[in-house]
Amino acid sequence: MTCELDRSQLSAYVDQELTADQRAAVEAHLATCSECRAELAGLGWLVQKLRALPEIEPPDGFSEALRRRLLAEADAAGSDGPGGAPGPVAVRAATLAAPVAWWRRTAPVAAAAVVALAVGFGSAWALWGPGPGPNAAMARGPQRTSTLQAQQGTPGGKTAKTMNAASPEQATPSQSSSPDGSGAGVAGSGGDAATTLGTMADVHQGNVGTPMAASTVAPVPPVPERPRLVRSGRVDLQVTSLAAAYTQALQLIALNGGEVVQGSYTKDEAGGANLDVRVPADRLDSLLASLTGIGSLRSLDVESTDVSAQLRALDQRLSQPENSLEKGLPSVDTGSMSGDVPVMSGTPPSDAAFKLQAQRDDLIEQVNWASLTISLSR
Amino acid sequence: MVHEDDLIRLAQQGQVAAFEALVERHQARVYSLALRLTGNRDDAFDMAQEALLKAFLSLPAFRGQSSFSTWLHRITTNVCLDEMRKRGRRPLLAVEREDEDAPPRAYADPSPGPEAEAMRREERRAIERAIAALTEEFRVPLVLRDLQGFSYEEIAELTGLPLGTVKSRIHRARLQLRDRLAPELFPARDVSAEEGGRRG
Repeated sequence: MTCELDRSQLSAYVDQELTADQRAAVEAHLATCSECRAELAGLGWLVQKLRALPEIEPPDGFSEALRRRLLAEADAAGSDGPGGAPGPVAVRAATLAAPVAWWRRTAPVAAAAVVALAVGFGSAWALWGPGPGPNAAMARGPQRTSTLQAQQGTPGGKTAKTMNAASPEQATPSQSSSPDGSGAGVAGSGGDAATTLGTMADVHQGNVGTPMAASTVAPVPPVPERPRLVRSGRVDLQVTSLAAAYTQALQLIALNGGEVVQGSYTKDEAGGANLDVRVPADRLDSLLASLTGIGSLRSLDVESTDVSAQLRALDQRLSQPENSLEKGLPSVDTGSMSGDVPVMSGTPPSDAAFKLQAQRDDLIEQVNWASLTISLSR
Repeated sequence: MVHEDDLIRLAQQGQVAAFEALVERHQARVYSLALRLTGNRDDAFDMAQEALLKAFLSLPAFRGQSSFSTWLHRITTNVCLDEMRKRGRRPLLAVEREDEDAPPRAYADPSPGPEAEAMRREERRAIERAIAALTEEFRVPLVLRDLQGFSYEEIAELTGLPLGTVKSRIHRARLQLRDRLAPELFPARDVSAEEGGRRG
């Protein structure tokens, strides 16, 4: 005997894909048809079995292969420039791209130039346009990110911080509060830090007509009020779950304004994870304290190196006329600051001056950003 | 435990490490989906990789309108179906040759809880084999419905099939599976004599 029910209604019934009317009709039919009741029972049994199937772990090597592809993709995007997919890779492409003049393709050109003048050297360099030099960080916008591959071997983060300083959400406490932040206080160019920061704030508020200190304030070599310390640390933690601890660590790093420079993670039994991190110097202790919450401490080393003397020496040399970075700077007409990029004229400063300044900026970078290696293992 | 949203945010900023941590939570499901859609391990490996890479690249466009896992499974499904369409009539290796000497597959939950115990290994393998033996036209809607939990409408959208076709293919796929599995797995008693109960 055959019944008239479209049997696929039974599957739809199991799947709750029927309207109320259809459902009522199926139930009415089931009440009278044992064959359909049996088929429904079979379908229900099968569906239960299918739903209970466990997930299948991918084979060994899956994660490693994926990581290789992610990084390869990122590399490819990095060398192609930011014309690729609008994804994180594109962000990274912008991060790693050769220092093509960002100021030519960045929208608020005038504002950027003003900030550049206000904060002195690093940005003055930007105005001439760095050659294919080490200053890749120039291309870094406010979206600056660090990833596994974004090695921080690229010096010149200070210019990136110059940009960051113009966007308040990026300004970390150490950058905004340090008298040496963002390359301010460069001999002969920037005036004191307070002036510089105030100017940047004005710029950010669109208050670009504010008289600027850039070339009107007499050179005042900064006098460190406290020792300038370069801090670096290493912490080894024993954790119960590597994956959980790893993600916790990532979050704590982010919460403290830090960045992962490089990370590795192995999954075998003897596995462990390592994170090379940079964190605003004044957040290092806070990060260390919170990290100890995710595992038991095996070891902790923090080193501090006083670089005050080195900085003073560099400042001293930079204050020599032959090392002036002011040479060739345009005269700053504050009345036209809201206009176009100032026209460059004169002779750019000497290479030696740039090198000195780069050294100084690197030191300041190290003072402002502590490095920390986090090691997690079971 | 870090909230998934935080990992997503970090990954959206391009942090490969955060994305890896995110993937850690989802890769078994992605791989299982790819394996069951394609029916063989080599394709599943490639397509799961492809899907995760694509997810990484399109992550900035993820706005949280659906859950992350739904979003990820849609990407995986699309990657698999696109590839299968590209191959056109060239059949995928329909039947997974389960080499008896090969080590058992690693299931996501290795600890044999009472439920895992209940579904014996042989039973699981029989079911996986039966799914893999379905032809693509039946396997895909069935996997999307019974293993992924997509609605008929979502399946219609993902596969480009009319809703009515989705419905009948799911049903016919189930009948094929039932017929294949019944001799092996059905309770010994005669099902037709059993009082039909409502389920689902």
